[in-house]
Amino acid sequence: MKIICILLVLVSILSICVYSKANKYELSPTFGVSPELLEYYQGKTFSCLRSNKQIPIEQVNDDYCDCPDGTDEPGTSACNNGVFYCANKGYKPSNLHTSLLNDGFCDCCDGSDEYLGKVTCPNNCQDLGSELRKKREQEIETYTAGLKKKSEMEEESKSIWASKQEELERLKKEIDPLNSDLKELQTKKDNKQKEKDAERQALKEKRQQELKELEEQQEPKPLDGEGQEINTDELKESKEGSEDVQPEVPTVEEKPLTSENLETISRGKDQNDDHNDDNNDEKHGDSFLYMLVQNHFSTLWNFFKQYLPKSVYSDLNDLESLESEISSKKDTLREKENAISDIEKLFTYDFGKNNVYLPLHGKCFEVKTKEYSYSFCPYDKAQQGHTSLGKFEKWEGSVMEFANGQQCWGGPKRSLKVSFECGVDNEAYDVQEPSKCEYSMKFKTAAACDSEHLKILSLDKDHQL
Amino acid sequence: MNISKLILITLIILIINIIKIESVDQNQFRTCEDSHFCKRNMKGRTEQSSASDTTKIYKLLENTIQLVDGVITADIIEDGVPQDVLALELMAYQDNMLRFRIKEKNLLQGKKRYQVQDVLLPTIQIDRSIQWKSKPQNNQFTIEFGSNHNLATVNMNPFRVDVLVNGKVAVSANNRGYMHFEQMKEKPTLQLAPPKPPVEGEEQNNNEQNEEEKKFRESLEGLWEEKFHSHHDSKPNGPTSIGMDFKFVGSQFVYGIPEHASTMALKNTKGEHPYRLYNLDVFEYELDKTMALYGAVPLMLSHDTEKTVGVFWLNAAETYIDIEDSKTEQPSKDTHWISESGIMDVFILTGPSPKEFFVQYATLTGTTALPQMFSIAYHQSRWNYKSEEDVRQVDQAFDDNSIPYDVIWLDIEHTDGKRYFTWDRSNFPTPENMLAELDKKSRKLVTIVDPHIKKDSNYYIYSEASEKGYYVKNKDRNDFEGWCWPGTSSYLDFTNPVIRDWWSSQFAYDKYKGSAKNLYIWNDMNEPSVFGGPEVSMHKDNIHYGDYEHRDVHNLYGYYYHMATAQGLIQRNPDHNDRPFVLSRAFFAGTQRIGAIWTGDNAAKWDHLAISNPMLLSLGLAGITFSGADVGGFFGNPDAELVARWYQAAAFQPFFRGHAHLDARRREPWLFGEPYTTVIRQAIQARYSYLPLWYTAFYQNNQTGMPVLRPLWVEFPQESALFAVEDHVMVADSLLVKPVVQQGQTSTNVILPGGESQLWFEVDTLKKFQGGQTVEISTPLEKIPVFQRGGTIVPKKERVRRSSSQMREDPYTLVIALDKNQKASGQLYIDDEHSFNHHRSNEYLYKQLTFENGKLTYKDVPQSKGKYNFENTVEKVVILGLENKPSKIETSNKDTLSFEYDQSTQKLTIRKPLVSVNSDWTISLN
Repeated sequence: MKIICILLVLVSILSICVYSKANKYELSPTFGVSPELLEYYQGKTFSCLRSNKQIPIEQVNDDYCDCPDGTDEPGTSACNNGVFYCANKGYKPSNLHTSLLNDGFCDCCDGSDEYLGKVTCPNNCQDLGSELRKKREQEIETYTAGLKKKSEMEEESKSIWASKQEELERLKKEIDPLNSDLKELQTKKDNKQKEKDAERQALKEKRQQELKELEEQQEPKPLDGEGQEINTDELKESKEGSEDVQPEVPTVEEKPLTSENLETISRGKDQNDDHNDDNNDEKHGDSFLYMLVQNHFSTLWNFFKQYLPKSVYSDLNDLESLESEISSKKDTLREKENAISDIEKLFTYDFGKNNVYLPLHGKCFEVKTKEYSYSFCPYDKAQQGHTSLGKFEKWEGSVMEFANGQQCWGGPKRSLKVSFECGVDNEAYDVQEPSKCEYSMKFKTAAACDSEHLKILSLDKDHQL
Repeated sequence: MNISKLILITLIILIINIIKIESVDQNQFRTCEDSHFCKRNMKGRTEQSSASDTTKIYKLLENTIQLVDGVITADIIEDGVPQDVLALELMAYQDNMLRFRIKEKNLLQGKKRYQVQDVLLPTIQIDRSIQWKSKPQNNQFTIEFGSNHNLATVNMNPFRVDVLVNGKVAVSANNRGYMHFEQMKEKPTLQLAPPKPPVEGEEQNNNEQNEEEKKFRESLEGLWEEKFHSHHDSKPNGPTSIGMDFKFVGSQFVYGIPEHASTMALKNTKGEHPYRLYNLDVFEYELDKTMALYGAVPLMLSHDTEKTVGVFWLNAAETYIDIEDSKTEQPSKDTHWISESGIMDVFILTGPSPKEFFVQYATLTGTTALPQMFSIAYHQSRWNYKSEEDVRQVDQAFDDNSIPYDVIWLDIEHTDGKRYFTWDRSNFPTPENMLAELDKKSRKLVTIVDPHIKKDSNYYIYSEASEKGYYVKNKDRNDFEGWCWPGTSSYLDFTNPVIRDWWSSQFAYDKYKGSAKNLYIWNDMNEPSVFGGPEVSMHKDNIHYGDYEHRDVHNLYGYYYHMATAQGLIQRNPDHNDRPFVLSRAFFAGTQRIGAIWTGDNAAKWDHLAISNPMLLSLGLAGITFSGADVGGFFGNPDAELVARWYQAAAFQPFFRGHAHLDARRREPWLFGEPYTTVIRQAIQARYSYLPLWYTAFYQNNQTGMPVLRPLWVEFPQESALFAVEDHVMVADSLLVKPVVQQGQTSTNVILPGGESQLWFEVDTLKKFQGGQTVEISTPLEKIPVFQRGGTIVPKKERVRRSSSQMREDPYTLVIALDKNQKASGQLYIDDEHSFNHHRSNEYLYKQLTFENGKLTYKDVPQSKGKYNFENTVEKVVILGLENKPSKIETSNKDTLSFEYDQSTQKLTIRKPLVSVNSDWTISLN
C-alpha cells in the first residue's frame, strides 16, 4: 500500500511537470490532491466532495471555482476554501490553503506550491527531513527517559499519597482521644473549681467575721502590700471568689497603683506563668477588669494570705496546671485539625493520571531573566521577586494557571500561565509578559511526558519517508 | 524603616492619583470662556439693532474701491476709528469660488500678521473674468463670477458680503455684524507723573501712583499677557484676534470643522461651548463634545435640497466656531468664527451640487495622495510588539489562522530609549532580517517617529539639530525644552523649509539604520504634545521660523511635520518612485495630500465604536478621507463581541488598523476563540475582496475630491431625511453599509434611500429591495448589513491571500447590480499599486464599465490618458436582478461563455470570460 501511494504521488508530480510546461492553467485533475482522495478525481465527472454539485472533470483544476466547498480546485487558488497537498518527499506531507499557491512565498519544502515560478523555491525537504528525524530522535530520547522518570514519579506519588493517607488516618484517630482527654480535664477542672469556691466562701465568711470584730476594736489603717509577690492567677481566683463581698471592699482605703507595684505584678506573672500571652489573655479576660482586681485586691490578698492554710495554695497550683494542660491539649488538637484539612485539600487537587504531578507539590522552581527572578511553586503560588504573580487557580489543559496576584498599576491583578512540557528534569524557562501583567512560563517535567505521544513519534520514525 | 517607606509610597500614590485625575480633567483644556480673545469677540456680539459700545461697526470706503486685474481692493475702517485702516481684497477663483482677505493696511514697524503658507495648492488661479454686475452706488456693489455666473453683493456700510447661488443669497458674511479685527498696536506704557520733591503727604502720593500702576497692569491682563492654570503667556503682540460671522441661508445642516468627537451634523452651541479648533493631545477624550482634538480643518459646509456651499477660514491659530439657528423666518444657520491671530482669509465655496463642492475644495487644498494598495488593506498594531520574535509569532499566527494582513506596526518601545530612528537592540537586534522576512510575504513594517527629540548629546539627531539651531525657541529665544516620552526633549521647527529638508534626509537608508524599502512611518504626538505644557502642548509665545509665534502656526505644526516625513520616504529611494505612507495624528486642511490620519486615542467602548463613522464622515467631508479609528478601541479591553463588531464596521472604513494600549490585553483577531475568530476573519476577508473598489474610489477621490466614505446625503442630496444620518455610510457610490454598533443587537433598521425606483441588493443574500423604505435586517454576530446599489458595477477580487500585494495578479470579479431599467455602470482603476508611474508616465488603466441592452462594455473612461500593460483578466461576472435568462453569452472575440442563471434570485454568473483588463471588450447576452 505504501509503495502504491508513493507511486501515485510520483505520477501526480510528473503530470504537473508535463502540464505546467504546456500551459499554466492546464493542470491534471489530480494535481494537489492528497493520496487518500485521489480516487474521487479519476472519473469523467467530478462530484464536489462536500456539496451537492457535479461538474465535468475538465473543470477540475481549471482555475475557476465551481464547487462551493472548493474541492474542484485543489491545485489552483481559484477557491477561497481549497486545500492543496504537498508531498514534501523526504519530509512530512502537508495540506495547504490554496490561497498560498503561487503567492511568491515558498510554503512547501518541495516548492510544489510555487509551480508558476514567481519565486524560485529550493527543495529543502531532505534537509528538513533529516532535521526533523534528528529532532524526533531527540524527542524520542527525551520521552523515553522522561517516561522512565515519570514512572518513578508515579511511584513516588503513590508513596506520598499512601503516607499522606496514612497520616490522615492517624491524625483522625488521634483526634478522638484528645477530645475525650480534654473533656475529662475540663470536668476535673470544674469540680476542682467548685470545691475551691466552696472552701474559699467558707474562709471568706470566717475572715469577714474576724474583720468585723477587728473593726469594732480599732480604726482600719492602710494596708501595705509593697514587696509582696503575687500570682496573678491566684489573684484572679481570689477576685472570683470574692465577688460577693466586693461591694464592701471600697470601704478599705486603697493604695494607688504605682509603677513599682505594677512591676511587682508583672514580675510575679513572669515567674509563675509559663503560658504564652494569648493564654494569659484568655484567662484574664478583660484586662481592665484585671487591673481593677489588682488594684483592689492585691493588698487584701496579702492580708488574707497569712491566714490561708498551705493546702489552699497547693489546690490552686493544681488548678493552674490543669488549665495549662487543657490549653496545650487544645493546641495539639488545633495542629492536628489543620494538618487534616491540609491533607484533605491536597486530595482535592488534580494531580493528573496516577497523581503524577503530586511530587511537584511543595517544590518551587526558579527562572532568572535579565531583570527579575521568577519563582513558580506548583499547586501553590508564583512570584516575580517579592511580587505575587498569583495563587494556584486551576489547570487548563496542560497549562497551570495562577491568578489574583498583586494588583498592577493601570492593569489587572497579575497572573501567570505555565505550560507543561515533557522533559527529563524539572525546569522552568522562557518567561514572557504577552500582555501587561499577564505572564507566561514554560515548564519541563517528566510528569508531562505522554506515552501515547511517544508511540506516535516511534510510529512516525518507522514510517520515515 | 517602615514609616519612611510608607510615607514615600503614600506620596507616590498621591502623585499618581493627582496625575490621573488631571489627565482626564476637562478643565485642563480651554473653552471660549477661558480664552480672553474669544470672550472679547463674544462680548461685542449684540444684535445690530441694539449696538453697544463694544460692538464694532466696519464700513467700506467707497472712494477706495478698485477693480484691477480681476481683484477688487478697498479700505475698511471701523466706525469712529478712521486712523486704523484695513485692506480688503476680494477676488474669484476658478471653479466658482470667492475669496476675501482682510488685514491691516499699514502694519506697525516690526509687526507681522501670519498668513497661512503651504496649504493652498500653488495651482489655484484667480478668475480674472470677474466683472461688475452693478458698480458701487447706493451703498453696495455686485460682481458676477465663475462659470455658474454667481453673484456677490457687497454692502458698504455696514460691511457685508452676500454670495448668491442660483439667484438666492446662500452665504452672508458679517450678516450679524460680528466682524472684529484687533489691529496690532504698540504695547501701552504707563505715563507716570514725574516724581515730586518730597513734601508732606508723600506717602499718599506714592499710593496713588501704585494704585495707578496696578490699574494699568490689570488693563493689560488678557490683552498683553494671559494666564491659564500655572502657565503664563507673555503675549508680546497684544490683542490680535479676528472674528466674522457667516449665515448659511436656507440651510438647517452644517458639517465639517473636524476634529471633534461629535455628531456629523454639527450642533448648535449658542450658550454652550463653541466648537474649538486647536490641535491637542487629549487623554481619554469624551464623546459628544465640542472640545478640540488632534487635528483641525477650518472648513464648514452646509447642505439643503437646493445646494451645498461652504466657508473655508484659512487660519492656523486657535479658533472657535459658535453655531446657532437663525432667528430669521427662513431656516438658516448662523455661525461665528473667532481666531486668536493671523489675517482674515475666507473662501466661499458655492457648490451648488455636493460633487461641485468637493471639486472646489480639492482645487484649493488638493486631494488624497493615491495610497499604495497595501495601505488600504488591514494593519495590525499594538503598543507594543516587543521583539523580533514577537513580530515573527504574530505574523505567523495570521497565516496559521488564514487571516490576511499587510502591515505590522511598532510603537515607541521599539526604539532605544525613545530616540527615534534607533532600535532597542536587545529586542530588535536585526531589523533588516525582520524586514526581509516580512517582505517575503509582501508585508510591510511601520515604525513610529515622533517630533520630540530626546535631549541627549550622544543622540545624533539631537546633537546635529542642536548644533544647527533647528529647535523651536522659547520666548527668550533659547531652545525650547519640553517633556515627552523620552524625558526632556526639544522640538524641531518644521515650519522652516530648511529644517523640513533636513528632517526628510534622516529617512535615507544609510541614516535610518535598519530601515528598508518595506518600512513606512507613523507620526504621533505632533499636535505637538508636550507633557506638562499648557494644555499638553507648546507655549503660544514660543518662536518659530520667520519670527512668528507658536500661536500663529500651532495648527500647522503637525501638518508640516507629516509633510517632511512623507517627503523623506519619497527621497530615500534613488528613483523617488515609491509612494510614501505616513500615518499622522495631527492634521490641518491639506493633510490629505500627505497621508492618512486616525482619530487618536479612543476607548474600547461601544459608544466609541458608534462615533467612529460620524467622525470619519466629518473628516471626509473636510477633505481628509483617508482616515480610520483604532479597531477595538485604544484604551481598555474590549470583549469578543465588541471586537468582532468593530472589525465589521472598520472593514468598511478607509483606514483599517487594529491597535491597543500598552496596558490592554492582547487582542489579535484569533485570541477570542470561535465564533469570533471566524467572524473577524470574514470581516477582514470582505475588506480584501473589495480592495479593487476601494482602490478605484481612492483614485476617483484623487481626481475629483469625492470622499471615499460618504454620508448618504452626498449620494441622495434631495432627501432631507438623510441629512443627519450618520450611522449609515456609502463606500464610493455603490455600497451602503450600516454596521452594528450596539451590544447584543439582534436586528437593525436600514434606510434604503433613492425612492421606489432605486433597487438595492443585499450582498450576502443577494436579496433585492426597493429604495424609499427602511427595512429591518436581522443581525446575528456574523452579519454586516451591506447593500449594493442597483445601477452600479463593483470590481472585486474574490481570491483573498495573505497580503494585498500577493493578490495583485489575481483575476477580477465584476458584480453588476442592475437598476429598474436593467442598466448599470461603474469604473475600474488599475495601476502598479505602489509607484508614481500612474502620474509620471500615465501607466494606469481607468476603465468604464457599462451594462445596457444586455451588453457589458469595457472601455476607457473618456478623459483617461492611461496606458498600462498589465496581464490580467476578469474571471467571473455576476449580474444581479437580471430578469430574463439569456440563451447565449459571447464576447466581442466571439468566444461563447458558459454561465449559470438562478431564476429565484435573478442571478446570472458568467463563468471564466477571461477578458483582458488591458483591452476594450464587450460581453453580450442574447
